[in-house]
Amino acid sequence: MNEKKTYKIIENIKSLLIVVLFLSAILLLYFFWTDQNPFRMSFSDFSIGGGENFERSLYVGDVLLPSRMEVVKDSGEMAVITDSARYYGSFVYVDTFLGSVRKFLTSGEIVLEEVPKEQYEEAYRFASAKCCFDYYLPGAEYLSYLGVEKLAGMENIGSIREIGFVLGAPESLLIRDGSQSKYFRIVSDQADTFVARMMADEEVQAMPNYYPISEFMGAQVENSVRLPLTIETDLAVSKASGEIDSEESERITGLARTFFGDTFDFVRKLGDASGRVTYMYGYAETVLIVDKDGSVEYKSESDASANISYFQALDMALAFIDSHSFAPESEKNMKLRPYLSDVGEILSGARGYRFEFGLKDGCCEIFCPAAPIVVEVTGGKISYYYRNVPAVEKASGKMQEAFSAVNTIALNYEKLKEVLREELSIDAIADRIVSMKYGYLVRDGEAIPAWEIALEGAGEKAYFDLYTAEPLE
Amino acid sequence: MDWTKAKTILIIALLATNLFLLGSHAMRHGGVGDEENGAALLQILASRNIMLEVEVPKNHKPMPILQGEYVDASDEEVEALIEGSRKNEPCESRDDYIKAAEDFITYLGMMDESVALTDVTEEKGKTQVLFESRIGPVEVAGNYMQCTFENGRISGFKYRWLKAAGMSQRKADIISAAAALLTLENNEGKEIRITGINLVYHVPENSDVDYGSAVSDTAFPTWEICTGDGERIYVEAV
Repeated sequence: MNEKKTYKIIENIKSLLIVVLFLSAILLLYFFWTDQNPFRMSFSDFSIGGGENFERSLYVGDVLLPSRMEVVKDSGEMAVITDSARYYGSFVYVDTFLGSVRKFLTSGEIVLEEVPKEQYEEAYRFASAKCCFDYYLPGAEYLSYLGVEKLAGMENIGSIREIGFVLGAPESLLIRDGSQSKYFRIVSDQADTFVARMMADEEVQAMPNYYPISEFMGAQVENSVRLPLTIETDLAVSKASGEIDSEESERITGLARTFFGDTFDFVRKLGDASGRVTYMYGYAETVLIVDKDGSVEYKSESDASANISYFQALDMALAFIDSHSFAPESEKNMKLRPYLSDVGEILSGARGYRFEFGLKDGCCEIFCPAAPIVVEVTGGKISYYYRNVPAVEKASGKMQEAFSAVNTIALNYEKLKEVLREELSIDAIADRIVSMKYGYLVRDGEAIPAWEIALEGAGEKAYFDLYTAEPLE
Repeated sequence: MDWTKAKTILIIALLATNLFLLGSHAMRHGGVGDEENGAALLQILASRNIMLEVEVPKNHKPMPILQGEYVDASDEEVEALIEGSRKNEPCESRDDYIKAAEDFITYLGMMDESVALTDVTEEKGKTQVLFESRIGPVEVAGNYMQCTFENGRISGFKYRWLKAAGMSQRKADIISAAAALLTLENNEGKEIRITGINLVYHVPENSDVDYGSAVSDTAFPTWEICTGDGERIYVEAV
């Protein structure tokens, strides 16, 4: 009886030993595989997952917005919905438009065909609505993003510059390819009702008309960029500062930690007399600079060579912005949201994209001297990130008329010449205007309501007070 | 099936596997085979015409990273202190010089527990009292304070001092001294004699960094390799 009991105990010990040895073999294999020293491990070294736990708040659909929407009314006159067009009540038509495009492309049988330029331009002389993109937007990828699974010939669309519907042909979606100066039409067996619904809206019919610069200026001006006759707005001067102060060392450290993760303890931290803090990992393979003005610049050398698509790269950039931002936002400040303002293809070395983002609060645009957020994705990795987002206090004045756009140009003809650094006539300058928008200019601790004029061939943009047209240096 | 036998075989197999894996780890992380490695190291270095004249340090523990702030004394303050010290009795003995130098550093507010006397030298009527910095037993390479005395009174002060402001929470594994030695190249082919190898704290040199305006920096555990002709080579040890 006793022998049997002893035998049973030995067998149990053996079973237990097998379990212990089996588990320790797995553990040792893990160390072997990850090349870690089991004699110098701590519990913190055991982590499950990538450790990048952050809440996504930015998605492609939030930033991939048209630069403007041009609406030709029943009367044949044009209204322009821009980021600054808050007096329309909402920017909702842009969202509705993109929803309609998505539905149009996915609900019926569709066919793509090229159309002549003349036919395309003629169609837009009548009631219509089109979204314009002033940045690189690859055609086939964008259509796939909108839900198109297969469409013969869609790879022939280079970069979508305009996409829109016309009232007279609701079964067609018109596309202008800006990279090749080609024009396309996608025909569906399902008609779209977006323009018809829009034209029936009294608010749309009451939108202020925009006229080409050529109509305001001399007969020799051919510029078709559109400007409003008058604008009413409640923008008011408010305070602005950097997103972070160089004295806030804890916040800076918290942000820096998000870039270096587990290696942060072994990162070189270098402070200089100007208040700038530089973090370096390895022999400057990864560098993060937090400047006194609150700007953040991150560079990472990488030999990665993965080829990823435009949308994958953009999503990666947005996830990076999300996970490397300062928090929390203050209640007294505007809630600035990034939107895509420019995209460049990086073709040298590791291929990829450079995404530049602008900022807006609701529908009001914030003008910064340089793009406030820049992300470069090369070889499938983030290789560059720049962030200089201002903190702008909320401000609202009484509704008042802005200084006329045309008069602002005429009054500041000399200043525009200076910006262009060329001796030109006023007509020649008017022909060089690429865009004229209004919003807040952030400068010297203030956010000032301003007109922004972009000129072809000028290195910088020109800014003028929105209510007095005084040049803002 | 005889489960008793099967279990015994399984235990032996698992035990063998674990011993093999443990052995492999030990080999990889330098616990075993030091003698063979040492001989191989000498051979590799000799093939580069690098002669090792010191014993290679072993068994170094993980170390924290040192975060420091550069101490800055204004020229006016130094001048005023030198001027003020002219009223003092002139130093005569070695101890007098050390005491006067320590007092001078204390008045400047630069004295702390890391300040360690290195040497007192006399040449051409000038006495130099040199201090270096040590965090525990580890020297902070490049840190120095030098007081110059003429006619027994202090006449000059030079320094470069990264004062410890904090250590990293986690400690970093240190690469072996042998691994550091293996990074040495000898492009000129002339014989290089290694006369010393020590673990120190050292601020890495980088051409992108403007050291002139730096107010704080990070010093990493680094192997300081001294050669026969007085050169010091730094190899980051983390």
